[in-house]
Amino acid sequence: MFKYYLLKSIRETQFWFWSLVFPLALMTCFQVAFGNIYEMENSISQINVAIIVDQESMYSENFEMTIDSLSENDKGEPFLVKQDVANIEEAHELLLDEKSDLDAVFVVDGENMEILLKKDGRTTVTMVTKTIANAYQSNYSIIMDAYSTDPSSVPAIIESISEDIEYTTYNDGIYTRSPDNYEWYYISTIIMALLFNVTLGIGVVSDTRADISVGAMRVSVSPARKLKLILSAFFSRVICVWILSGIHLLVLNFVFKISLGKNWILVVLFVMLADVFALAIGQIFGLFMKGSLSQRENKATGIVMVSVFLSGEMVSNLPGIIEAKFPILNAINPATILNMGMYRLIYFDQPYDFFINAGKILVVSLLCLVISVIMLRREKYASL
Amino acid sequence: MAEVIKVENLVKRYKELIALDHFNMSVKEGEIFGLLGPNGSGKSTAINCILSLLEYDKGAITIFGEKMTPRAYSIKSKIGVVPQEVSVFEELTVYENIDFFCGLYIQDKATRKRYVQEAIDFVELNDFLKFRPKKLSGGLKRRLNIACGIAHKPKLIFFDEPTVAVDPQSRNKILEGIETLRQNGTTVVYTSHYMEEVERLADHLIILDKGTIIAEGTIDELKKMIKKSELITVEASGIEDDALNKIRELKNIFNVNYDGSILKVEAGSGKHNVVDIISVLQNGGYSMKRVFSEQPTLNDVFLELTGKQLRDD
Repeated sequence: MFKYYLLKSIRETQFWFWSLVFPLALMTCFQVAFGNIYEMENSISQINVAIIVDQESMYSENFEMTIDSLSENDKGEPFLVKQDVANIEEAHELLLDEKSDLDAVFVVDGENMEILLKKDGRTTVTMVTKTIANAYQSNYSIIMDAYSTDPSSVPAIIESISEDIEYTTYNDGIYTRSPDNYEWYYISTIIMALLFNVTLGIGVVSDTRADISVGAMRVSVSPARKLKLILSAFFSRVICVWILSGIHLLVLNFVFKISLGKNWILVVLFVMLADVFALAIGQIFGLFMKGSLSQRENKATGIVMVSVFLSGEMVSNLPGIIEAKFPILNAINPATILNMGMYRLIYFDQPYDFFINAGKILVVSLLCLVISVIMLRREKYASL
Repeated sequence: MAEVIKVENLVKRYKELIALDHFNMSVKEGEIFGLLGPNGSGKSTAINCILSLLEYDKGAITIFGEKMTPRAYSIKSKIGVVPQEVSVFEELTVYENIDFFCGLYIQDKATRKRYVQEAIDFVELNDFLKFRPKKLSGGLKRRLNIACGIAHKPKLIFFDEPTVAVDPQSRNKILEGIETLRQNGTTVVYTSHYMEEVERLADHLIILDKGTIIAEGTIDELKKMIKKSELITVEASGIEDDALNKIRELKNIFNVNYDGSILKVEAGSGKHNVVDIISVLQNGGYSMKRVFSEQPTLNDVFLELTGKQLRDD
C-alpha cells in the first residue's frame, strides 16, 4: 500500500512542476539577473575622477571632502582617486582620449553638479558616480533645510545620516557571515517550493475521502483501516518532499553557491519540518476547501503565491513595510514565518531561534495532522 | 437460498429531495439482482447506502446476516464494488492499480499475485499491464475498473452501471464476464438504465423511479403485470377501415395502428391472437408480406407503469 502511494506521489506531474521545475527556473532567472549585479559589484575597481569647481561654495568644499573620504574602500584599496584637471575643456579632451585613464569629472557650479563621463567607459563608473552625486545632493539639501529652519536639529540629522550609511555593515558578534539581500530571494524561493507541497497534502485527503475522489470511494468500501491508509498516504508524501528539498538545498549550495551557513544541519532539519508543515496545512486546505481536487489544488496554489509574495519573494522589503503597518499579517503568514526562520538560521549564530521556530512549526503541524486524521477517519458521507 | 442482502424501509433525503422512499430489497445468494431505472432514479444512492458510504435518514440494512456499518470490516472483506465512474489511480499502471486495490483485501503476497493475474485474465488486459489508465480506451478502462473490483474474489459484487459509454464489443465481454461470475456462485447486484442488459442478466429485479419502487419480481412476473403481452406486426398494404374495425373487435386486442403499409396490433394475453388477425386479413383478400409477434420488453413495463420511456436515447 505504502509502495503504491509513494509511486503515485512520485508520478504526480503537477507536484514536480510547482515544487521542483518552477522554483529552479525562478532561481535560474535570479542567477541570470543578479549575476550581472554581482559581477558589477565585484568589478568595481579604482575609479579616477576629477572635480572642476566653477564657483567656490560650502557645497563644493564639502563635496571635495566627501570624495577625499572615498579615496579608499573598506579593504584599504584605492577607490575614488582624484586627478588634477585645470578646466572643462581639458576635461572634455581627456575624457575623449582613449589613452587617458580619467573616468569621470564632477563639474560643480554653486549648488549644482554635472557629471562628465568617459566615452564608452565602464558601466560601474556611471552607477557609482551618479549614486555618490545623488546621495550628496540629497544629504546636503536635508542639512541646509535644517540649518535654515531648526539649526538645533542638525547634529541629530547628521547622526541619522551616518547611521544610514552604516546600515549595511555587520557585526561579527551577531551574524555568522555578512547578510546578503540577493540571497534573500533564493531562500524565499526555497520556502515557496516547499509551501507548494500543500498540493500533496490535498492529495492525501483526495486519496482517502470518498466524496472527493472515486479512487477513495473504492478505498472506503474496502476493509482496510482508515488510519493505516491515511498514514501511508501521508508518509509516502513526506519521503517525496524530503527528497525534493534535498535536491533544492544541494542545488542552492553547489549550483547557485548560496552557503547554508555553519548551522547547515539545523537548516536541513528546519526544511524537513517545514515540509511536514506544508503537507499538514495542505490536508487542512483539502478538507475545508470546496470543489473538485484540481479546484482545491488551484485555490491552494493561489494562496501560497499570495503568501510568498507578501513574504518578500519579489519585493524583499515588503515584510518590513507590512511589519510597520500591519504586523499581524507577518505573524500569521506561513511564508514569512518560514522565510524569517530560515534566514535567521543561516545568518545568525543563535540556534535558540531554531528551537523556537521549529517548535512553533511542529505544534501547528501536529495540530493540523490531528484535525485532519480525525476528519478523514469519518467514513460516512451526506452526499457523494 | 440464503438471503445475502436485506434492506428495509430505507429513506434517504438530499435536503428537500427524497432520493429513496421506503426502499426495500432482498437479494438471495447466487442470483443476479437487477436495479433498473432512469438516470437519477436512486439506483446509485441505494447502492451507496447499502455500502454504508452514504448516511441515510431511516431504515435497516443487513448483509450476510449482519448489520452493515462503516466499520463492519468482516462484511466489507466479502464485498466487491465496480463503481459507475472508472475508479482507479491515473498515476498507477493497469497492474499496479489491480494489485493496489486487491491489496486492500488480501495481505498474503503470493495469494494476491495469483488473484491479480486471474483478474487480468478474466478481463483480458494482459497486453496492457504497463499502460496508465489515460492511455486505455473507454472499454478497456471499464474492464480495468471491473478487475479492480473483483480481483479479491468477493462473494457479493455491486456493479453500478458498468457499461456506460462502452462500445458494443466491450459491453458484450463485460456481460459475459458477469454471467461467468454467477456461474461461479457469486451474488451480483447490477444497476443499469439499459433494459436489455438487465433483461439478459437479472434473475430478479426492481424497477425504480424517483426513489420509489414501481415494480419488483422476475422478468416474467413483471411482464405479466402489464396489460400488453404481445405486439403483432403485419406488413400489408391497402387495408381498409372495415378490416381494421374487425381486428379491433377481436378478443384481447386493445390497440390497432395502421400507417398504410405496416399494421401494429397490441394484444393482451391470448393463445390465438396472431391466427385471428391473419384470418381477418385473409378473409378480406389482403396479401401479407411478413407477420411477426414480439413479447413486451421491460421498457414496455416501465412505459405502462409510469407513462414514460425508460430511456430517452
